[in-house]
Amino acid sequence: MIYADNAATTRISDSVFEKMLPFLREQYGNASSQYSLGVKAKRAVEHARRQVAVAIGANASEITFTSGGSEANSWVIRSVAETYRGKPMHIITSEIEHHSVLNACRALEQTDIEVTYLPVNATGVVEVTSLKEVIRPHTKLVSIMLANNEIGTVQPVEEIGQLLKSKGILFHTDAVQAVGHVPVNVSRLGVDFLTASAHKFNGAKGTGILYKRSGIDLSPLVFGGKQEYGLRAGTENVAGIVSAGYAIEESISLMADEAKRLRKMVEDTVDGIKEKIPSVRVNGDSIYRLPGTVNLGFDGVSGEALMNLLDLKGICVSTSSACTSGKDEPSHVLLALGLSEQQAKSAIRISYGRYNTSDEVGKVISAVYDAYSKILGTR
Amino acid sequence: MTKRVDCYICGKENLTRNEIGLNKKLIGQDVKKFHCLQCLADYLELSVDELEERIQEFKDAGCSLFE
Repeated sequence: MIYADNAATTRISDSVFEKMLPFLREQYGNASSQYSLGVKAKRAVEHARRQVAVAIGANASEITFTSGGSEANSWVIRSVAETYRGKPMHIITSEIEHHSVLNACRALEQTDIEVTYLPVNATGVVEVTSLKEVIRPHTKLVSIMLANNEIGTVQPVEEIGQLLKSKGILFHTDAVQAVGHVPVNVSRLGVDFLTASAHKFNGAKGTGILYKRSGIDLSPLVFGGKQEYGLRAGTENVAGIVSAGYAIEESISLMADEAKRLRKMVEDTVDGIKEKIPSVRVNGDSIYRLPGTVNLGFDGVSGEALMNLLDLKGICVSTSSACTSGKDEPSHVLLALGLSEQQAKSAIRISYGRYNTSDEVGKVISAVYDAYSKILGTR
Repeated sequence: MTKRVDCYICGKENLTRNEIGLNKKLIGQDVKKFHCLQCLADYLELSVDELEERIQEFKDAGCSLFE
């Protein structure tokens, strides 16, 4: 099998797995317990918090662990809205955010909160000038992702951060696709909230990260005990949190070499496919994008069919369109780039990660070409 | 009334809902020429067992194209 869907999830690193394993077996204590077993679990959680903080240039006290990126995204948006309850409030986000952001915003629109969904340019970049134009006196929060999950485009978050700081507007970035893959520093980015997820950088599933700048209030997500500063009660997922700490540390130590290697693999893949299928289109930005992710459009061919045929040949890629009923829905991200519904439905995403090797590139190119030809051969 | 669909390779009549669904999933929703399971397996250089397993996976995923 060739797994080329690392933007969906990643295989856990062997060394990270070894680090988390004791906390599922002999070190299974509850981090809130007062005896040695519990204290050791608590120490492990706090060590992971420091690892994460160092990795993104934050203080440990600014890190809260969640169950994943979606929870963290929803929490930030709902909490900020709650802070301003009863007052005029306007939120700005982009049309290409993850559904955990978009649907949280849509839910708030039902409560008289105004939301502006910023368009993006043809390569999926939010233009700062467009953002400036839609800021209102009662804009309280801007949520713009650091890197897009479908096309890999990296947004000018640092520039946006500078703009918003000068206006006193809270800034959240969904960095789920970026953390562990490109350098992330919360001070440099100028963000107040940043969210990430361990399974996107070779950690375990079930652990998310929320960075909240010191001094900013956040209402509790779960009431109960005092875990996670009383903001998210409930027994900590110690093993998952430990995985997050070691996985982020490891990803950062490998980042420079990995980025170079993955970028080359993506370039070779695109070049190889273009040679065989000249009409293939790269959706997204060719410069400002994640090293391992590329979205390709094959006009006239169904992306879903391509994905399914590749799966039957042992290659995992993804398609942005969602289909469970025989009518596939085009990706909101690709439509926002200005693609037609048909073009949006013709796309697949290839996302390489740490465990992909350069000799897989040729196999992917051949398999994509074979699948494409098979589909066209029936017309 | 459901339109009758035959295999355009071997002429097998009245393809099943699963065969039609699989053509849509593997060739595209707009597929015009349908294959029976055996002809589809031959065309794609796969076994009928592999395709039947895939049909089950689509069903498990909740796809309503299959029976």
